[in-house]
Amino acid sequence: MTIEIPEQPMPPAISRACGLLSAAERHESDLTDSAAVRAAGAAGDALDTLLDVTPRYAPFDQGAPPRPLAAVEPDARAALAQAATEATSAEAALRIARALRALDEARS
Amino acid sequence: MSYESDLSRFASRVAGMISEPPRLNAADLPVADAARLAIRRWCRQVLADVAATDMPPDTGLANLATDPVGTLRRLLEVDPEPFGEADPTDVAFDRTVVSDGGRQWKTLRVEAVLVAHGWASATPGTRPDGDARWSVVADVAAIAEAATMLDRDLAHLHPRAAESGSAQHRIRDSWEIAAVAEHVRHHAARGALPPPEPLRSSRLLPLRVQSPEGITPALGRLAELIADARHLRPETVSALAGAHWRTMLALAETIEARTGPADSLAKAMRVNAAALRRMQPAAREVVSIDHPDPRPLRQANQIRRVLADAEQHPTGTRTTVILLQAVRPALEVVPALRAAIEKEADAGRWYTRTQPGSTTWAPTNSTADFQLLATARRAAERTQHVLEQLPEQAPAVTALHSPRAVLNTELLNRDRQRAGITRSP
Repeated sequence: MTIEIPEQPMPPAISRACGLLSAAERHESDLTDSAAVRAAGAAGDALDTLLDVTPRYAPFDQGAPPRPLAAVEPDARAALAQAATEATSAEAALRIARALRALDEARS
Repeated sequence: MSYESDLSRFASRVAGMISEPPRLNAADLPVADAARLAIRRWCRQVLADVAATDMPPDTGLANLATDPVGTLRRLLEVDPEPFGEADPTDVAFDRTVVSDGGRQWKTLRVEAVLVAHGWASATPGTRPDGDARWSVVADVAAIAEAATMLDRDLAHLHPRAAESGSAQHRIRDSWEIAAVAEHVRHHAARGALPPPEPLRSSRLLPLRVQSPEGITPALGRLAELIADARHLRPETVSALAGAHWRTMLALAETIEARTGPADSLAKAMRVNAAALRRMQPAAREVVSIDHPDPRPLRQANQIRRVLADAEQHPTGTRTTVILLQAVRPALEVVPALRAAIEKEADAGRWYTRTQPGSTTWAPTNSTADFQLLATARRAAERTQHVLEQLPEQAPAVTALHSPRAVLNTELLNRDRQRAGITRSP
C-alpha cells in the first residue's frame, strides 16, 4: 500500500546551502584520513539538521561535484546567514543556528 | 561487569554505614526511606528472577524451615514502613539534604537504583543458572539482613518516627527479615532451587557507561539492542551510523597511538568508518511512519559521551588497552545494523519513493534495492573482512568482592553480641 507524503518547497538560500553541503558530504578524497571523514560527517550533520522539517522539503539539487568542506564552507555559511535573515519563524532560525554549530564542531 | 562492580561498591557502602551509623537529620528521613525502598525492590526483583517459587501464604515465619527462600520473598514483598512523612516513591533524586547522614543515604539510594538497573539490563544468557543461583540468593540475603540493621539504626536515632505506622511492619523491617535472611544465607550452600522463569527479551536495556571500561560491554549490548529492536526508523539508523562511525574513528586513533601511523588495522577501521558514514545520506531516501525503538540510540549515545570525553583528555596506557578491547565489538555492530536494515526492508515498514521526485512512497520488500540497503551491505562486507583477521581476545577479569564477602558474619552479628556472658565453671 502506497502513502502520500506532503512536501514544501525549499527556500532558495536553504537550497543553495544544502547543495553545497551535499557536495562536501559526498567528498571522499582519502578514506584513511580522520579529518577528511570528520569534515564530510559534519557537512552531513548540518544537512540533516536543515532537512529536519515537517512537511519535508522537496528534493534539492545534488548534482554539484564533490568538494572538500573547507572549499564550500564560506559559501555555505553565507547562504545560511541569508537564510537566517529570511527565516519566518523562531524554529527555522534555530534550525539554521544548529546547522552552523554542526559546522563549527568540525573545526574543533 | 558493570553490575558486579556496582553491587560490590553498593555492599561496601552498606558495610560502612553499618560500621559507623550516619547521623541523620529528621528532615532527611524521606531520603533514607527512598533508599530503603530501592534496596527492598532490588532484593525482591532478584529473588523473583532466580528463585521464582510460589510464595507461601502470609503466615509469618511458620514456613521458614520448609521454604526459607519463599518466606524471605514473602517478607520482602511489602514495602518498608517509612520513617518520614513523605511518600518514598515521590522523593526526588536531587532532593536537598541537610545532614551528612542524609548525603550518605542519598548516595546509597542512587547506588541501589544503579544496581537494580544493572540487574534488569543483563541479558538472559548471562543470568546465573543451576546451583550458581544460590550465590545470588545468598548475596540478596546478606543485603536484606544488612538493611534491617540500617533500619534499627534509624529507629534508634529517631525513636519518635519509629513509633509511627504499623508496629508489626516495624518488627518485620528490623528483625523478622534479619532472622529469615540469616537463615537463608546459612543454607544457601545446599538444596535445589526451583527452575527460574525464562526472562523476557524485552528487558534487554542499554548499559550505563561511566568510564572507558564500560565501552566494550556497551558495544556488545548495542549490537544486541539493534538485533532486538522492535522497529528502527531510517533516521534512527542514520543517527546510529553517525554515532558509530565516530566511535570507529576514535578507536582507530587509539590503535595508532599505540602502534604507530602505519597500522593496517587503524587504516581498516577508518575505511570502515567512512563506509558507515555513507549510510547517513542514504537514509534520507527512506521513510517510516512507525514509532522507533529508542534503546539502541540511547546505548550509542552513552558510548559516544564517554568516548568523546576520552578523546578530549589524554588517555593513559591502561585506557588505551581497554579501548583496544573494544575493537571487535565495535566492528560487530556493523553486521547487526545491516541485519536490522534487511529486517525492516523485508517487513515492509520502510517506504521509498515510487519514482524520483514523486510524493508517493511504496513499502520496501525482501527484493528491494535501495541505496541504504546496498550501503549497509557493503559496509558489513568490509567489516567482516577485518573481523576475520582479528585475533580472538580473552575477556578481561577484574577481582570484585561479593556482598557476602563485604558484609561478613562479624559485621552482620553486630546487634547480636552479648557482652558479659561467661561459661559456667
